[in-house]
Amino acid sequence: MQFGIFTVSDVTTDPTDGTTPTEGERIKAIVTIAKKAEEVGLDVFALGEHHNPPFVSSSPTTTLAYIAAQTEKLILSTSTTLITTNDPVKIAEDYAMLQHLSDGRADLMMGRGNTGPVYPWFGKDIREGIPLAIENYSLLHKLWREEFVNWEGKFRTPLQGFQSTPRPLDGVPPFVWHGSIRSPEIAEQAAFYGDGFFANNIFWPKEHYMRLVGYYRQRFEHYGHGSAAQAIVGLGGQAFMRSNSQAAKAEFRPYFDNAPVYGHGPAMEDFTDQTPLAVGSPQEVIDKYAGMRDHFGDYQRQLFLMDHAGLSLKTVLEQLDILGEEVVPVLRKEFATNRPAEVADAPTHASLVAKRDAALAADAAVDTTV
Amino acid sequence: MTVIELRDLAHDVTNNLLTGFPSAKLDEAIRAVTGADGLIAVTPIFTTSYSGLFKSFIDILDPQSLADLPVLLGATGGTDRHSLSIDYTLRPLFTYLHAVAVPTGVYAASADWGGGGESGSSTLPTRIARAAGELAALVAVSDRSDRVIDPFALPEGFSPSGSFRA
Repeated sequence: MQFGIFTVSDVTTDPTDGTTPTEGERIKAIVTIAKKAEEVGLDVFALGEHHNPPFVSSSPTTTLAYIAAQTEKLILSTSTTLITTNDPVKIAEDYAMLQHLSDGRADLMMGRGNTGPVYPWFGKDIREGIPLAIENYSLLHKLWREEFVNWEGKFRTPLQGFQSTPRPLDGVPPFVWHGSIRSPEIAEQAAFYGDGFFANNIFWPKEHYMRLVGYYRQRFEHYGHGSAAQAIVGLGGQAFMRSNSQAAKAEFRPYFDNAPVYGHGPAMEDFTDQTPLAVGSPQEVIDKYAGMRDHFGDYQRQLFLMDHAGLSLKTVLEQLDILGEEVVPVLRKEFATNRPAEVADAPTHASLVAKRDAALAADAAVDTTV
Repeated sequence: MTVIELRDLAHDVTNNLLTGFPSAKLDEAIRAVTGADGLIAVTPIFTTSYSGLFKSFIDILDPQSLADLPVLLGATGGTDRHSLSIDYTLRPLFTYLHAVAVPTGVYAASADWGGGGESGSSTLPTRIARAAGELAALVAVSDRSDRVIDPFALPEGFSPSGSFRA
Protein backbone atom coordinates (compact mmCIF):
# COMPACT_ATOMS: atom_id res chain seq x y z
CA MET A 1 0.00 0.00 0.00
CA GLN A 2 1.38 3.38 -1.03
CA PHE A 3 0.69 6.61 0.83
CA GLY A 4 1.42 10.05 -0.46
CA ILE A 5 0.20 13.53 -1.21
CA PHE A 6 -1.19 15.27 -4.27
CA THR A 7 -1.38 18.96 -4.99
CA VAL A 8 -3.34 21.16 -7.38
CA SER A 9 -0.73 23.94 -7.05
CA ASP A 10 -3.19 26.72 -6.27
CA VAL A 11 -1.95 30.17 -5.27
CA THR A 12 -4.57 31.18 -2.71
CA THR A 13 -4.66 34.07 -0.25
CA ASP A 14 -4.34 32.92 3.35
CA PRO A 15 -7.72 34.00 4.77
CA THR A 16 -6.30 34.40 8.26
CA ASP A 17 -3.72 37.07 7.42
CA GLY A 18 -4.50 38.17 3.87
CA THR A 19 -1.07 37.21 2.52
CA THR A 20 -0.68 35.63 -0.91
CA PRO A 21 2.52 33.86 -1.96
CA THR A 22 4.10 34.91 -5.24
CA GLU A 23 4.18 32.34 -8.03
CA GLY A 24 7.88 31.86 -7.34
CA GLU A 25 7.29 31.30 -3.63
CA ARG A 26 4.52 28.81 -4.33
CA ILE A 27 6.62 26.88 -6.87
CA LYS A 28 9.51 26.62 -4.41
CA ALA A 29 7.04 25.66 -1.66
CA ILE A 30 5.80 22.75 -3.80
CA VAL A 31 9.39 21.48 -4.08
CA THR A 32 9.89 21.86 -0.32
CA ILE A 33 6.64 20.00 0.33
CA ALA A 34 7.65 17.14 -1.99
CA LYS A 35 11.02 16.77 -0.26
CA LYS A 36 9.26 16.82 3.09
CA ALA A 37 6.97 14.02 1.90
CA GLU A 38 9.99 11.79 1.40
CA GLU A 39 11.55 12.89 4.70
CA VAL A 40 8.44 11.89 6.71
CA GLY A 41 8.27 8.49 5.02
CA LEU A 42 5.56 8.97 2.40
CA ASP A 43 5.82 7.02 -0.85
CA VAL A 44 4.28 9.24 -3.53
CA PHE A 45 4.17 12.89 -4.57
CA ALA A 46 1.71 13.76 -7.34
CA LEU A 47 1.50 17.14 -9.05
CA GLY A 48 -1.41 18.57 -11.02
CA GLU A 49 -1.27 20.26 -14.40
CA HIS A 50 -2.96 23.60 -14.99
CA HIS A 51 -2.54 26.39 -17.49
CA ASN A 52 -4.30 29.27 -15.81
CA PRO A 53 -4.01 31.29 -12.60
CA PRO A 54 -4.50 30.75 -9.68
CA PHE A 55 -2.54 27.56 -10.46
CA VAL A 56 1.21 27.47 -11.14
CA SER A 57 1.93 23.92 -12.24
CA SER A 58 2.00 24.14 -16.03
CA SER A 59 5.14 22.03 -16.53
CA PRO A 60 4.92 18.92 -14.34
CA THR A 61 7.88 17.01 -15.75
CA THR A 62 10.23 19.96 -15.24
CA THR A 63 9.12 20.20 -11.62
CA LEU A 64 9.09 16.46 -11.00
CA ALA A 65 12.57 15.99 -12.50
CA TYR A 66 13.87 18.76 -10.25
CA ILE A 67 12.32 16.99 -7.26
CA ALA A 68 13.63 13.61 -8.44
CA ALA A 69 17.16 15.02 -8.37
CA GLN A 70 16.74 15.93 -4.71
CA THR A 71 15.03 12.76 -3.47
CA GLU A 72 15.95 9.09 -3.25
CA LYS A 73 12.86 6.95 -2.89
CA LEU A 74 9.84 9.14 -3.56
CA ILE A 75 7.64 8.07 -6.50
CA LEU A 76 6.82 11.08 -8.69
CA SER A 77 3.38 11.12 -10.23
CA THR A 78 0.78 13.49 -11.64
CA SER A 79 -2.73 14.48 -10.62
CA THR A 80 -3.51 14.75 -13.44
CA THR A 81 -1.76 14.82 -16.83
CA LEU A 82 -4.08 16.29 -19.43
CA ILE A 83 -4.49 13.47 -21.94
CA THR A 84 -6.95 15.62 -23.85
CA THR A 85 -4.88 18.69 -24.72
CA ASN A 86 -1.29 17.41 -24.57
CA ASP A 87 0.10 15.78 -27.68
CA PRO A 88 0.49 12.08 -26.81
CA VAL A 89 3.86 12.11 -28.60
CA LYS A 90 5.11 14.75 -26.16
CA ILE A 91 3.68 12.89 -23.15
CA ALA A 92 5.42 9.70 -24.32
CA GLU A 93 8.76 11.48 -24.55
CA ASP A 94 8.50 13.72 -21.48
CA TYR A 95 7.56 10.90 -19.12
CA ALA A 96 10.03 8.40 -20.59
CA MET A 97 12.67 11.07 -19.96
CA LEU A 98 11.43 11.51 -16.38
CA GLN A 99 11.49 7.75 -15.94
CA HIS A 100 15.21 7.64 -16.90
CA LEU A 101 16.21 10.65 -14.82
CA SER A 102 14.35 9.39 -11.74
CA ASP A 103 15.63 5.80 -12.11
CA GLY A 104 12.13 4.47 -12.57
CA ARG A 105 10.46 6.50 -9.82
CA ALA A 106 7.84 7.96 -12.19
CA ASP A 107 4.27 7.08 -13.01
CA LEU A 108 1.39 9.25 -14.13
CA MET A 109 -2.33 9.76 -13.93
CA MET A 110 -4.37 10.66 -16.98
CA GLY A 111 -7.20 13.13 -16.60
CA ARG A 112 -9.28 15.65 -18.45
CA GLY A 113 -8.80 18.49 -15.98
CA ASN A 114 -11.39 20.80 -14.52
CA THR A 115 -10.90 23.83 -16.75
CA GLY A 116 -13.02 23.88 -19.90
CA PRO A 117 -11.27 26.85 -21.56
CA VAL A 118 -7.95 24.95 -21.67
CA TYR A 119 -8.98 23.10 -24.83
CA PRO A 120 -8.69 26.00 -27.31
CA TRP A 121 -5.43 27.14 -25.66
CA PHE A 122 -3.91 23.96 -27.06
CA GLY A 123 -5.83 23.87 -30.32
CA LYS A 124 -8.43 21.32 -29.24
CA ASP A 125 -12.22 21.24 -29.21
CA ILE A 126 -13.83 21.05 -25.76
CA ARG A 127 -16.76 19.12 -27.22
CA GLU A 128 -14.37 16.24 -27.96
CA GLY A 129 -13.13 15.73 -24.38
CA ILE A 130 -13.84 12.00 -24.06
CA PRO A 131 -12.94 11.08 -27.67
CA LEU A 132 -9.62 12.97 -27.23
CA ALA A 133 -8.90 11.07 -24.01
CA ILE A 134 -9.63 7.77 -25.73
CA GLU A 135 -7.69 8.37 -28.94
CA ASN A 136 -4.70 10.15 -27.40
CA TYR A 137 -4.21 7.44 -24.82
CA SER A 138 -4.44 4.65 -27.36
CA LEU A 139 -1.59 6.35 -29.27
CA LEU A 140 0.45 6.96 -26.10
CA HIS A 141 0.01 3.29 -25.13
CA LYS A 142 1.32 2.26 -28.54
CA LEU A 143 4.27 4.71 -28.57
CA TRP A 144 5.61 3.19 -25.35
CA ARG A 145 5.19 -0.40 -26.49
CA GLU A 146 6.07 -0.43 -30.18
CA GLU A 147 9.46 0.65 -31.43
CA PHE A 148 8.28 2.13 -34.75
CA VAL A 149 4.73 3.36 -34.88
CA ASN A 150 2.43 3.68 -37.85
CA TRP A 151 -0.72 5.36 -36.74
CA GLU A 152 -3.65 7.33 -38.01
CA GLY A 153 -6.39 8.93 -35.98
CA LYS A 154 -8.93 11.69 -36.00
CA PHE A 155 -7.26 14.37 -33.90
CA ARG A 156 -3.67 14.67 -35.11
CA THR A 157 -1.51 14.11 -38.16
CA PRO A 158 -0.68 10.47 -38.96
CA LEU A 159 2.63 8.91 -37.89
CA GLN A 160 4.74 6.78 -40.19
CA GLY A 161 7.55 4.71 -38.72
CA PHE A 162 7.85 7.16 -35.85
CA GLN A 163 10.02 6.24 -32.89
CA SER A 164 9.54 8.28 -29.71
CA THR A 165 12.70 8.98 -27.76
CA PRO A 166 14.00 8.09 -25.27
CA ARG A 167 12.50 4.62 -25.17
CA PRO A 168 10.93 3.75 -21.79
CA LEU A 169 13.43 2.78 -19.11
CA ASP A 170 14.34 -0.94 -19.40
CA GLY A 171 11.73 -1.17 -22.17
CA VAL A 172 8.93 -0.95 -19.59
CA PRO A 173 6.48 1.98 -19.79
CA PRO A 174 5.60 3.96 -16.66
CA PHE A 175 2.49 2.70 -14.88
CA VAL A 176 -0.62 4.68 -15.76
CA TRP A 177 -3.59 5.59 -13.61
CA HIS A 178 -6.74 7.11 -15.03
CA GLY A 179 -8.51 9.67 -12.87
CA SER A 180 -12.16 10.51 -13.17
CA ILE A 181 -14.82 11.85 -10.88
CA ARG A 182 -17.88 11.06 -12.92
CA SER A 183 -17.24 9.49 -16.33
CA PRO A 184 -17.90 5.76 -16.71
CA GLU A 185 -16.11 5.97 -20.08
CA ILE A 186 -12.82 6.63 -18.26
CA ALA A 187 -13.40 3.81 -15.75
CA GLU A 188 -14.10 1.58 -18.75
CA GLN A 189 -10.88 2.73 -20.43
CA ALA A 190 -8.78 2.04 -17.31
CA ALA A 191 -10.36 -1.43 -17.04
CA PHE A 192 -9.82 -2.19 -20.73
CA TYR A 193 -6.06 -1.57 -20.51
CA GLY A 194 -5.67 -3.11 -17.05
CA ASP A 195 -4.39 0.27 -15.84
CA GLY A 196 -5.06 1.79 -12.43
CA PHE A 197 -8.14 3.85 -11.63
CA PHE A 198 -7.97 6.80 -9.27
CA ALA A 199 -11.00 8.43 -7.66
CA ASN A 200 -10.08 11.77 -6.13
CA ASN A 201 -12.64 11.09 -3.39
CA ILE A 202 -12.67 14.67 -2.17
CA PHE A 203 -15.38 17.30 -2.42
CA TRP A 204 -18.24 14.77 -2.76
CA PRO A 205 -19.65 11.94 -0.61
CA LYS A 206 -17.69 8.69 -0.85
CA GLU A 207 -20.81 6.83 -2.03
CA HIS A 208 -20.48 8.55 -5.40
CA TYR A 209 -16.90 7.32 -5.88
CA MET A 210 -17.73 3.87 -4.48
CA ARG A 211 -20.13 3.28 -7.36
CA LEU A 212 -17.54 4.38 -9.92
CA VAL A 213 -14.75 2.26 -8.38
CA GLY A 214 -17.13 -0.71 -8.15
CA TYR A 215 -17.88 -0.32 -11.84
CA TYR A 216 -14.14 -0.18 -12.71
CA ARG A 217 -13.42 -3.32 -10.67
CA GLN A 218 -16.21 -5.21 -12.41
CA ARG A 219 -14.97 -4.16 -15.87
CA PHE A 220 -11.32 -4.95 -14.96
CA GLU A 221 -12.43 -8.51 -14.35
CA HIS A 222 -14.54 -8.52 -17.52
CA TYR A 223 -11.50 -7.64 -19.62
CA GLY A 224 -9.54 -10.51 -18.12
CA HIS A 225 -6.86 -8.68 -16.14
CA GLY A 226 -7.66 -10.50 -12.88
CA SER A 227 -10.47 -10.58 -10.38
CA ALA A 228 -12.38 -7.44 -9.41
CA ALA A 229 -10.55 -7.52 -6.07
CA GLN A 230 -7.22 -7.38 -7.94
CA ALA A 231 -8.01 -4.20 -9.85
CA ILE A 232 -5.59 -1.34 -9.11
CA VAL A 233 -7.40 1.38 -7.19
CA GLY A 234 -6.17 4.69 -5.87
CA LEU A 235 -8.08 7.15 -3.72
CA GLY A 236 -7.66 10.76 -2.76
CA GLY A 237 -8.37 12.20 0.63
CA GLN A 238 -8.12 15.35 2.64
CA ALA A 239 -7.20 15.96 6.25
CA PHE A 240 -6.23 18.65 8.73
CA MET A 241 -4.85 17.55 12.07
CA ARG A 242 -3.77 18.92 15.42
CA SER A 243 -3.12 17.01 18.60
CA ASN A 244 -6.68 17.60 19.71
CA SER A 245 -9.85 17.78 17.70
CA GLN A 246 -10.99 21.22 18.87
CA ALA A 247 -7.68 22.87 17.97
CA ALA A 248 -7.76 21.31 14.49
CA LYS A 249 -11.31 22.50 13.85
CA ALA A 250 -10.66 26.02 15.11
CA GLU A 251 -7.51 26.43 13.03
CA PHE A 252 -8.88 24.93 9.80
CA ARG A 253 -12.33 26.57 9.90
CA PRO A 254 -11.37 29.89 8.22
CA TYR A 255 -9.62 27.95 5.45
CA PHE A 256 -12.67 25.73 5.02
CA ASP A 257 -15.10 28.65 5.08
CA ASN A 258 -13.18 30.48 2.35
CA ALA A 259 -11.96 27.51 0.30
CA PRO A 260 -12.41 27.99 -3.46
CA VAL A 261 -14.35 24.76 -3.97
CA TYR A 262 -16.69 24.46 -1.01
CA GLY A 263 -16.35 27.74 0.87
CA HIS A 264 -19.30 29.93 1.80
CA GLY A 265 -21.57 26.90 1.69
CA PRO A 266 -22.18 24.13 4.21
CA ALA A 267 -20.86 24.15 7.76
CA MET A 268 -17.51 22.36 8.10
CA GLU A 269 -19.07 19.76 10.42
CA ASP A 270 -21.75 18.90 7.84
CA PHE A 271 -19.15 18.67 5.10
CA THR A 272 -16.86 16.40 7.11
CA ASP A 273 -19.85 14.15 7.90
CA GLN A 274 -20.79 13.96 4.22
CA THR A 275 -17.36 13.72 2.53
CA PRO A 276 -13.93 12.17 3.19
CA LEU A 277 -12.55 15.47 4.54
CA ALA A 278 -11.28 14.78 8.07
CA VAL A 279 -10.56 17.64 10.48
CA GLY A 280 -9.52 16.55 13.94
CA SER A 281 -6.98 14.58 15.94
CA PRO A 282 -4.62 12.13 14.22
CA GLN A 283 -6.75 9.32 15.65
CA GLU A 284 -9.89 10.70 14.01
CA VAL A 285 -8.11 10.83 10.65
CA ILE A 286 -6.85 7.27 11.15
CA ASP A 287 -10.36 6.06 11.96
CA LYS A 288 -11.88 7.70 8.90
CA TYR A 289 -9.27 6.46 6.43
CA ALA A 290 -8.79 2.99 7.93
CA GLY A 291 -12.49 2.54 7.11
CA MET A 292 -12.05 3.33 3.40
CA ARG A 293 -11.12 -0.26 2.48
CA ASP A 294 -14.49 -1.38 3.87
CA HIS A 295 -16.18 0.88 1.34
CA PHE A 296 -13.87 0.59 -1.68
CA GLY A 297 -12.24 -2.82 -1.18
CA ASP A 298 -8.49 -3.24 -0.52
CA TYR A 299 -6.69 -0.69 -2.63
CA GLN A 300 -3.17 0.30 -3.63
CA ARG A 301 -2.63 4.02 -3.28
CA GLN A 302 -3.91 6.68 -0.89
CA LEU A 303 -3.04 10.30 -1.64
CA PHE A 304 -3.91 13.23 0.59
CA LEU A 305 -4.49 16.83 -0.45
CA MET A 306 -2.59 18.84 2.18
CA ASP A 307 -1.51 22.16 0.63
CA HIS A 308 -4.43 24.18 -0.59
CA ALA A 309 -6.88 26.93 0.31
CA GLY A 310 -4.11 29.29 1.40
CA LEU A 311 -2.54 27.18 4.17
CA SER A 312 0.95 28.53 4.86
CA LEU A 313 4.01 26.46 3.98
CA LYS A 314 4.87 26.25 7.68
CA THR A 315 1.45 24.78 8.47
CA VAL A 316 1.62 22.33 5.56
CA LEU A 317 5.02 21.07 6.72
CA GLU A 318 3.64 20.59 10.25
CA GLN A 319 0.71 18.68 8.76
CA LEU A 320 3.10 16.43 6.85
CA ASP A 321 4.99 15.70 10.08
CA ILE A 322 1.76 14.56 11.71
CA LEU A 323 0.66 12.62 8.64
CA GLY A 324 3.99 10.86 8.20
CA GLU A 325 4.79 10.22 11.83
CA GLU A 326 1.44 9.61 13.51
CA VAL A 327 -1.15 8.71 10.88
CA VAL A 328 0.42 6.77 8.00
CA PRO A 329 2.40 4.26 10.13
CA VAL A 330 -0.85 3.25 11.84
CA LEU A 331 -2.73 3.13 8.54
CA ARG A 332 -0.01 0.91 7.04
CA LYS A 333 -0.59 -1.60 9.84
CA GLU A 334 -4.37 -1.35 9.54
CA PHE A 335 -4.32 -1.88 5.77
CA ALA A 336 -1.91 -4.82 6.06
CA THR A 337 -4.21 -6.61 8.50
CA ASN A 338 -6.31 -9.24 6.75
CA ARG A 339 -5.30 -7.98 3.34
CA PRO A 340 -6.07 -10.87 0.95
CA ALA A 341 -2.97 -12.44 -0.64
CA GLU A 342 -4.45 -11.97 -4.13
CA VAL A 343 -4.47 -8.17 -3.74
CA ALA A 344 -1.20 -6.89 -5.18
CA ASP A 345 0.70 -3.77 -4.22
CA ALA A 346 0.65 -0.79 -6.55
CA PRO A 347 2.82 -1.52 -9.59
CA THR A 348 6.31 0.02 -9.43
CA HIS A 349 9.02 0.09 -12.08
CA ALA A 350 10.76 -2.86 -10.37
CA SER A 351 7.57 -4.93 -10.20
CA LEU A 352 6.71 -4.15 -13.83
CA VAL A 353 10.19 -5.14 -15.00
CA ALA A 354 9.92 -8.40 -13.01
CA LYS A 355 6.49 -9.07 -14.48
CA ARG A 356 7.73 -8.44 -18.01
CA ASP A 357 10.76 -10.72 -17.49
CA ALA A 358 8.55 -13.46 -16.06
CA ALA A 359 6.26 -13.22 -19.10
CA LEU A 360 9.28 -13.40 -21.45
CA ALA A 361 10.66 -16.43 -19.59
CA ALA A 362 7.27 -18.14 -19.79
CA ASP A 363 7.10 -17.45 -23.54
CA ALA A 364 10.63 -18.81 -24.00
CA ALA A 365 9.67 -21.98 -22.09
CA VAL A 366 6.65 -22.44 -24.36
CA ASP A 367 8.83 -21.92 -27.46
CA THR A 368 11.27 -24.65 -26.45
CA THR A 369 8.50 -27.18 -25.79
CA VAL A 370 6.84 -26.60 -29.17
CA MET B 1 -48.19 11.32 -2.48
CA THR B 2 -45.20 13.23 -1.13
CA VAL B 3 -45.39 16.94 -0.31
CA ILE B 4 -42.08 18.81 -0.48
CA GLU B 5 -41.81 22.35 0.93
CA LEU B 6 -38.72 23.96 -0.58
CA ARG B 7 -38.51 26.36 2.35
CA ASP B 8 -37.48 23.40 4.54
CA LEU B 9 -34.68 22.68 2.07
CA ALA B 10 -33.55 26.23 1.27
CA HIS B 11 -30.11 25.94 2.93
CA ASP B 12 -29.56 22.49 1.45
CA VAL B 13 -30.44 23.77 -2.02
CA THR B 14 -27.93 26.63 -1.70
CA ASN B 15 -25.23 24.27 -0.40
CA ASN B 16 -25.86 21.95 -3.35
CA LEU B 17 -25.42 24.87 -5.74
CA LEU B 18 -22.02 25.55 -4.12
CA THR B 19 -20.68 22.04 -3.50
CA GLY B 20 -22.27 20.09 -6.33
CA PHE B 21 -23.87 17.39 -4.20
CA PRO B 22 -27.07 17.17 -2.14
CA SER B 23 -27.43 16.57 1.58
CA ALA B 24 -29.23 13.37 2.56
CA LYS B 25 -32.46 15.30 3.18
CA LEU B 26 -32.29 17.05 -0.18
CA ASP B 27 -31.33 13.84 -1.94
CA GLU B 28 -34.52 12.27 -0.62
CA ALA B 29 -36.57 15.12 -2.10
CA ILE B 30 -34.76 14.90 -5.44
CA ARG B 31 -35.40 11.17 -5.63
CA ALA B 32 -39.06 11.67 -4.78
CA VAL B 33 -39.47 14.21 -7.61
CA THR B 34 -37.40 12.50 -10.29
CA GLY B 35 -38.80 9.03 -9.63
CA ALA B 36 -42.44 10.13 -9.57
CA ASP B 37 -45.27 9.25 -11.96
CA GLY B 38 -46.64 12.77 -11.68
CA LEU B 39 -45.63 16.13 -10.27
CA ILE B 40 -47.62 19.13 -9.11
CA ALA B 41 -45.13 21.99 -9.24
CA VAL B 42 -46.23 25.16 -7.50
CA THR B 43 -44.37 28.43 -7.01
CA PRO B 44 -45.21 31.94 -5.96
CA ILE B 45 -44.78 34.44 -8.79
CA PHE B 46 -42.21 37.03 -7.76
CA THR B 47 -41.44 39.94 -10.09
CA THR B 48 -43.16 38.30 -13.08
CA SER B 49 -41.53 34.88 -12.69
CA TYR B 50 -41.09 31.75 -10.55
CA SER B 51 -39.26 32.30 -7.28
CA GLY B 52 -35.48 32.02 -7.14
CA LEU B 53 -35.70 29.14 -4.68
CA PHE B 54 -37.99 27.21 -7.02
CA LYS B 55 -35.57 27.72 -9.93
CA SER B 56 -32.56 26.82 -7.76
CA PHE B 57 -34.17 23.48 -6.95
CA ILE B 58 -34.82 22.86 -10.65
CA ASP B 59 -31.20 23.87 -11.39
CA ILE B 60 -29.72 21.12 -9.21
CA LEU B 61 -31.74 18.37 -10.89
CA ASP B 62 -30.13 16.31 -13.64
CA PRO B 63 -31.58 17.93 -16.78
CA GLN B 64 -32.57 14.50 -18.09
CA SER B 65 -34.29 13.45 -14.89
CA LEU B 66 -37.74 14.96 -15.52
CA ALA B 67 -38.16 13.57 -19.05
CA ASP B 68 -41.68 12.19 -19.65
CA LEU B 69 -42.84 13.35 -16.23
CA PRO B 70 -46.50 14.46 -16.21
CA VAL B 71 -46.59 17.87 -14.52
CA LEU B 72 -49.35 20.15 -13.37
CA LEU B 73 -48.09 23.73 -13.26
CA GLY B 74 -49.43 25.93 -10.48
CA ALA B 75 -48.63 29.37 -9.16
CA THR B 76 -49.86 31.90 -6.67
CA GLY B 77 -49.52 35.66 -7.01
CA GLY B 78 -50.54 38.93 -5.51
CA THR B 79 -52.33 40.12 -8.63
CA ASP B 80 -54.21 38.33 -11.39
CA ARG B 81 -52.25 40.39 -13.95
CA HIS B 82 -49.49 37.74 -13.57
CA SER B 83 -51.72 34.78 -14.41
CA LEU B 84 -50.03 34.15 -17.77
CA SER B 85 -46.70 33.76 -15.98
CA ILE B 86 -47.40 30.03 -15.82
CA ASP B 87 -47.37 29.92 -19.59
CA TYR B 88 -44.46 32.22 -20.32
CA THR B 89 -42.09 31.23 -17.50
CA LEU B 90 -42.99 27.83 -16.01
CA ARG B 91 -44.13 26.09 -19.18
CA PRO B 92 -40.95 26.76 -21.23
CA LEU B 93 -38.84 25.61 -18.27
CA PHE B 94 -40.59 22.25 -18.10
CA THR B 95 -40.70 21.93 -21.88
CA TYR B 96 -36.92 22.31 -21.93
CA LEU B 97 -36.70 19.45 -19.43
CA HIS B 98 -38.93 17.30 -21.64
CA ALA B 99 -41.53 17.01 -18.92
CA VAL B 100 -45.14 16.74 -20.07
CA ALA B 101 -46.98 19.76 -18.69
CA VAL B 102 -50.77 19.45 -18.85
CA PRO B 103 -52.56 22.18 -20.85
CA THR B 104 -54.36 23.71 -17.88
CA GLY B 105 -52.23 25.69 -15.46
CA VAL B 106 -53.67 26.70 -12.12
CA TYR B 107 -53.00 30.27 -11.10
CA ALA B 108 -54.45 31.64 -7.89
CA ALA B 109 -54.37 35.35 -7.04
CA SER B 110 -55.87 37.35 -4.22
CA ALA B 111 -59.12 37.69 -6.17
CA ASP B 112 -59.58 33.92 -6.18
CA TRP B 113 -59.36 33.80 -2.41
CA GLY B 114 -61.33 37.01 -1.86
CA GLY B 115 -64.24 36.44 -4.23
CA GLY B 116 -66.19 33.46 -5.42
CA GLY B 117 -65.07 33.91 -9.00
CA GLU B 118 -66.55 36.25 -11.53
CA SER B 119 -69.52 35.15 -13.53
CA GLY B 120 -68.57 34.00 -17.00
CA SER B 121 -65.04 32.94 -16.02
CA SER B 122 -63.92 29.69 -14.46
CA THR B 123 -63.50 29.60 -10.72
CA LEU B 124 -60.37 28.33 -8.98
CA PRO B 125 -62.07 25.04 -8.03
CA THR B 126 -63.13 24.40 -11.65
CA ARG B 127 -59.61 25.13 -12.94
CA ILE B 128 -58.16 22.79 -10.33
CA ALA B 129 -60.62 20.05 -11.26
CA ARG B 130 -59.86 20.38 -14.99
CA ALA B 131 -56.06 20.41 -14.49
CA ALA B 132 -56.25 17.52 -12.02
CA GLY B 133 -58.25 15.47 -14.52
CA GLU B 134 -55.63 16.10 -17.21
CA LEU B 135 -52.81 15.13 -14.85
CA ALA B 136 -54.58 12.02 -13.54
CA ALA B 137 -55.05 10.68 -17.07
CA LEU B 138 -51.27 10.89 -17.69
CA VAL B 139 -50.28 9.57 -14.26
CA ALA B 140 -52.49 6.52 -14.79
CA VAL B 141 -50.40 5.38 -17.75
CA SER B 142 -46.95 6.47 -16.48
CA ASP B 143 -44.35 3.75 -15.85
CA ARG B 144 -41.68 6.18 -14.59
CA SER B 145 -41.65 4.94 -10.99
CA ASP B 146 -40.89 1.39 -12.21
CA ARG B 147 -37.98 2.36 -14.46
CA VAL B 148 -34.44 1.24 -13.65
CA ILE B 149 -31.78 3.74 -14.66
CA ASP B 150 -28.16 2.68 -15.19
CA PRO B 151 -25.95 5.60 -14.13
CA PHE B 152 -22.97 3.99 -15.90
CA ALA B 153 -24.61 3.35 -19.25
CA LEU B 154 -21.94 4.01 -21.86
CA PRO B 155 -22.87 5.98 -24.97
CA GLU B 156 -23.87 3.78 -27.88
CA GLY B 157 -20.87 2.73 -29.95
CA PHE B 158 -18.37 3.73 -27.23
CA SER B 159 -15.03 1.97 -27.46
CA PRO B 160 -12.41 2.29 -24.70
CA SER B 161 -9.53 2.03 -27.19
CA GLY B 162 -10.99 4.06 -30.03
CA SER B 163 -11.11 1.10 -32.40
CA PHE B 164 -11.81 -1.95 -30.26
CA ARG B 165 -15.31 -3.39 -30.49
CA ALA B 166 -16.33 -5.84 -27.79
